[in-house]
Amino acid sequence: MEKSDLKYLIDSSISLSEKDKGIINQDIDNAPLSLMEKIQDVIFNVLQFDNAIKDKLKMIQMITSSQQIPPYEKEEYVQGILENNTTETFWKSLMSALKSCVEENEQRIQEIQSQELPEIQARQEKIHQEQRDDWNKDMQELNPQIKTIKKNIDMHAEHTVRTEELSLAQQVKETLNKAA
Amino acid sequence: MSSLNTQHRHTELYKESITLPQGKSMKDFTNEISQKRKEIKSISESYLPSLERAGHSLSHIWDAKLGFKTIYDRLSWAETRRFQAEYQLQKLKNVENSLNNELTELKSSNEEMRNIIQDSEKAKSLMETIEAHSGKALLGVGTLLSLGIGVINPPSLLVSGPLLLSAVGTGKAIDLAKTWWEGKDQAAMEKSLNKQLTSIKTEQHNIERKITKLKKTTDKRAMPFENNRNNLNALLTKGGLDNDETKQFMEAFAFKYITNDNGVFQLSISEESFNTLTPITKAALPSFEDLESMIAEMNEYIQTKGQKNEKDIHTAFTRFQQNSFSIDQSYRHERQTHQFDTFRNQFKSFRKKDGEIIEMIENKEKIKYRLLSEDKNNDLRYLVSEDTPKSGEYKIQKYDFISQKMSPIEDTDISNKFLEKNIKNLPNSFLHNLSEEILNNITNTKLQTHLQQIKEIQNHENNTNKSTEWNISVTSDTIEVIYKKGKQNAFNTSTSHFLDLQTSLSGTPTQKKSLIRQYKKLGITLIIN
Repeated sequence: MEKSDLKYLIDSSISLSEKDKGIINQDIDNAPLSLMEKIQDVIFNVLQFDNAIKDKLKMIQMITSSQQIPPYEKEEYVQGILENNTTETFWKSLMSALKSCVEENEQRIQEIQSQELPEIQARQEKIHQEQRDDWNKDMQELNPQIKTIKKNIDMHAEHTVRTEELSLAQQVKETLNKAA
Repeated sequence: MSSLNTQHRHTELYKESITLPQGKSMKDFTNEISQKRKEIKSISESYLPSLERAGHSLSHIWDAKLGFKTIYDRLSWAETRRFQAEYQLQKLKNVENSLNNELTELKSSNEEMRNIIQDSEKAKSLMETIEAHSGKALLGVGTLLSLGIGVINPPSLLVSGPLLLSAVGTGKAIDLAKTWWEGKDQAAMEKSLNKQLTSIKTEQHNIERKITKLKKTTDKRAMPFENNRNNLNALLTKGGLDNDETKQFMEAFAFKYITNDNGVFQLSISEESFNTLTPITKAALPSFEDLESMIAEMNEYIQTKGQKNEKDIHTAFTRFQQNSFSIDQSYRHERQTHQFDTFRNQFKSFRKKDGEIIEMIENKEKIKYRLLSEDKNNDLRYLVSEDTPKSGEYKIQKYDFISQKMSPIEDTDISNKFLEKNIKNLPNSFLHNLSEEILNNITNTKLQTHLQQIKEIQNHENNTNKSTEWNISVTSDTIEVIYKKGKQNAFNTSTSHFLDLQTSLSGTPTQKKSLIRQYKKLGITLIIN
């Protein structure tokens, strides 16, 4: 692994402070090649730690967002996770609670997919359809009126042209008369 | 002429019939209507004056104006409705987006959680395999969380790493353990690691604090109950116990928090649980009847006051605390030696696990001891001095928590069971010096063979003035001997089967395997690092 890759990994850690990231990056810069493998292992360790914290956060988030687990049980689970309760009883109970949270999420996924989303989409489609119907109705009623206006405008335009042509002919005639 | 051209252009526009724009968005739809409306307005503004100029009658102009107005109003109304529809659609779209986001989040969250659960279960299964293989709980269930989903704990891996390596040989956890094991001599690396670990722990602590804060916000519904429990905990803390001790205190005294049928917070105590308490705990407590009446009094007080006023609850708990401590004081008066602080220290020590270090005061001096096997029934713990004594001999004692007396360990205490349970925490020199009488009394032949071999090693070390470094652990089925790297020169003669170690430690893999097999026949699992 290149030094730059290692630095990237360190920079992406959630558990190291900015100051420590700086120190470690400096260590990487100064490390002789013989130590690089060890440094890689150290970084792997840091990432493991990151993952462990992320996992804990994930578990806590899962437990606290459950609608089915009673608050006092949530409290016990969260405390157990934070305190690294390592008894088998707690482990089994936690695993079972997490599985029930997953199940709870699955039910919610089903609910969204089979009921809520189709319902929302149907309501949108209904509005679109209503708008199309409205538009057609408007146009059915407005088109004849628009046609009449259009006809009137055409007639007016023709009349205006004719009047202007006549006026022009009159002017020509008057000019010719004057000339004669 | 220009106005005429404009009129013609407008006329051309309206020659096309207006049809439904299929496939357009609602916004396009609205824009189009708006555009049409503007155009109608613009045509009317140029057409109507043109009619006037052409000398049309007022009624004719009025009719034309009305015609435009009807169309204009109709389009304006259509535009308003489109705006409303667009707004509704936007709201629905937002709901749809938020549902889609929730869906994505739930799916990814479930996938992550399934992986976490799977990893954890795999780790458990791995541990069970290792335990089945070695016949000993090498890491304990606790490490499952560390390996699968929890926190990597380098010091524990440092100890257990070699065992894991030999038992399984693959996997990230094992690599990690190996790294730690092999890298332990690198002072610079350790320093850097320690720095990182401190920083990680601090950050983890910060995250935990944030989570706790967050959790408190989300669990508001449970607050009345929690408040009361926290009040009691706080009061017990004031009495000199920290949070962890408070928890243990409550458990040890068989107290439970409950809510009655009306949802009011109460304390309870069961005689059955009380009777399971150890004599030392019982000795520090009032009688069950006294405790029961104190709790009843406090519960009655809470019941009367209800949960409305936090101050009332606080008063109730204070009274309870005063009562319990006044009894403790009368108890103290009765038996001067049993002060509450002493009890608390004993209580803490008594609850410690095998292998943990405690401090005992002897002749006004603090001496560190490692706790050996626990014997809860007799309230006895065996202790071995932790610091290397100047005399070179470790001090092994037994401590009676009732009488608070320490006495030297007797030969009769060193039973098969004692050795099997404690061998990993017993110093080599103690094992070297076991008397023939004790060895002869050991019925576990594997253990006996092994102890004899240890004596041989010691004799060898004495003769050659060289020492080796080894750890052993024994169960009823297997004995594991772990010889550490770099110590192969400890054996340099060829008079004992132990001496093959030299070959094995620097020898070929085949030679090593052969030696391991040889030891297996003796019932010893030899692990070479």
